[in-house]
Amino acid sequence: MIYTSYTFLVILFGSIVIGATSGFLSFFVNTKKESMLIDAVAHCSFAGIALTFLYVNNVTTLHLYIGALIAAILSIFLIYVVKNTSIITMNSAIGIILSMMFGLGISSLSIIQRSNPMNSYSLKHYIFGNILYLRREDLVLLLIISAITFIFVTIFWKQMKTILFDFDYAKSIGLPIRSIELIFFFLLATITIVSVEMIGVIMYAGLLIGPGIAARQITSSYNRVIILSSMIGALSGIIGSTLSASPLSPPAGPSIIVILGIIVIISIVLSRNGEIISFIKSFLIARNHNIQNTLSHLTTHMIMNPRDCDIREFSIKENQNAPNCCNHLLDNLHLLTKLNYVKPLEQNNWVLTYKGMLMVDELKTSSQLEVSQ
Amino acid sequence: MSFLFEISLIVILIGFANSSIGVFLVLNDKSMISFALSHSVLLGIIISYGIIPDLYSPIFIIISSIIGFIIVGIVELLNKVKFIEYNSALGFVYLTVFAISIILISTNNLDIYYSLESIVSGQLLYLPFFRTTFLGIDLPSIAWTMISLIILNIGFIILTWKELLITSFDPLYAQLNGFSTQLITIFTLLLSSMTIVGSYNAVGPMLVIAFIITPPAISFLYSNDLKQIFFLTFPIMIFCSLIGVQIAYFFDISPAGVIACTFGFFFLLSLFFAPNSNLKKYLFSKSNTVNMPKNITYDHLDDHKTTVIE
Repeated sequence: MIYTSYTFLVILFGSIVIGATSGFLSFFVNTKKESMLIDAVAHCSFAGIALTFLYVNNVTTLHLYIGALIAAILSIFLIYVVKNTSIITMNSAIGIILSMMFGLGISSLSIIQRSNPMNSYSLKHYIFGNILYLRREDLVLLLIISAITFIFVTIFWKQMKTILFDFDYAKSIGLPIRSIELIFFFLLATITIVSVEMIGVIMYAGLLIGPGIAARQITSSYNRVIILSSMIGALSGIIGSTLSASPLSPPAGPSIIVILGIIVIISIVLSRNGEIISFIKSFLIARNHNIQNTLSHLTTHMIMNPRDCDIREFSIKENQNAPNCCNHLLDNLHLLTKLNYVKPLEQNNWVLTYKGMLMVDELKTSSQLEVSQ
Repeated sequence: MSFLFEISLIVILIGFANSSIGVFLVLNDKSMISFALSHSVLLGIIISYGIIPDLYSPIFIIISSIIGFIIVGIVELLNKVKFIEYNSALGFVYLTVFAISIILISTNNLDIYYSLESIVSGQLLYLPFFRTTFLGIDLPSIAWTMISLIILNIGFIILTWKELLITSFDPLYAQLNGFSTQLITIFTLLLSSMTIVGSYNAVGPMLVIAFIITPPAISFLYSNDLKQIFFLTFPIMIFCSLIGVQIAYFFDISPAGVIACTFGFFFLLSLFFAPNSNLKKYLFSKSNTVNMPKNITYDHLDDHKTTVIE
């Protein structure tokens, strides 16, 4: 059985850790509107990996991580330099630097391909990711880094929330904004680089964006959003890696992202404050409003003429001057019949049912209360 | 015609078609949308390759570009849902669509021309072998595709120059004058999408961005007049891509990556010398934080010229 083998269990555990950690961070990435920057970081780390392959003999995984980290930090630095010193906007700066660094990676890949075909084969997996490359050492490294990130965020949770939602206030009370953001970004880049080997340079940004979107749709409390988004990330990791171990064997990174996409669509459809639910809600509210309006209309008549109060039977006479006037009322009465509040008799005569009487009494007391107040 | 000449001709034509429409994408800050477009077009290519298995036919290009455009339209739909940032929606949609298309390609259930490698780096060196003769001239098929796309793009830009100008600088005035800015944006993105599809098997989705964004961005550093920027883009693009092709030929590297790299390198270089960047000032003059308190103090003293201190 493939699903109980040691290799698969390591992969499963690794994908859970990757998914949970990226989900944990995706809240910050989404709120800071830095998703495209993260995408650029992931793309640019490929240049660092490829150049390390070119210039370092006896490549180990640690060398690759260091090279990728240098490339990622360099790319962020360049993007901010371009943005701050010229009229080029942030998005264009990201596009320019991303394509330059990726081009550098591709051209060094083709040099490696010529000189050392075996290495180039293993290097190509960084682009779309290969979860089979996950070894126990990588898993340990991942666990350490995600633990550090978790501890950092829990310690500075209050400060980070302040910086996120009220930057000026955070500045005015003298929080060390720059150092907190730098450390956070460094951790983010480290996790990106460690996970890139498994998920792929191109796909990894999806794991840092998707869980946040899905979780934000379901809850509004930020503690709950973070917990839920890390759960969603872990879930998509589990399902994606299980799918990629199945006989169809799609690559793991893309299948994780597709599963995440399905989860996001489901969460948007089922969200409490989403469009679809609110549309249904507004429809229901309009309907309820109609019912209550009609019944309270009747009750006001009953209060005005207390003698008729006991008469539960009433008729609608057609107004000769305005023949369409009654149609709306009739529609509402038909709605009430469907809901068992009134019962139709012959020739535009209606009678209140027991349920209707209870409702009318309730409305009458409430309106009397209003009058007395 | 030599092989190198044809390669550089193809590169220049691709650059011409992409950067002509890219000027307006950079101007309107839509460069990330074109990035998303270049990824999501792959699903369109897969679908339309099932219908018409001919990479150079115009119907193939039109169908796949429209599918890619519709996918980017989903982003606008997602943006209307609460609590989703525009950039997050954009990034997530294109990544999901790209993931779907990569799964479709790599599981080999479909008979598709593309391999994963050609998506990443493009196959510029194989393109001169596919040839068509038109009007008695024998050229690579992609050159004819790009020439027709250039005619389309330049025609669109010349015809709607005034509208494009107003749309990018004063959308409110455009609405008052009674033409739809959205329609012009849609046409710009559709043309860009068609150009991306046309140049897809020469350079991949990641490197086509270098052709769309970087040459206009370089010329934005040198001038403030849109007409000058537009005409400055092409010499810059031709110069950079010729140098890139020569380097790639000399060191025997895949040309698409090298050209993207040269574009980026020239951008960073011109950041030093161009009039529209402050990098030199930023590096070689005293920073504002040093001068600011001094200046404020001088100003304050200037106000108190007439007051007598007792």
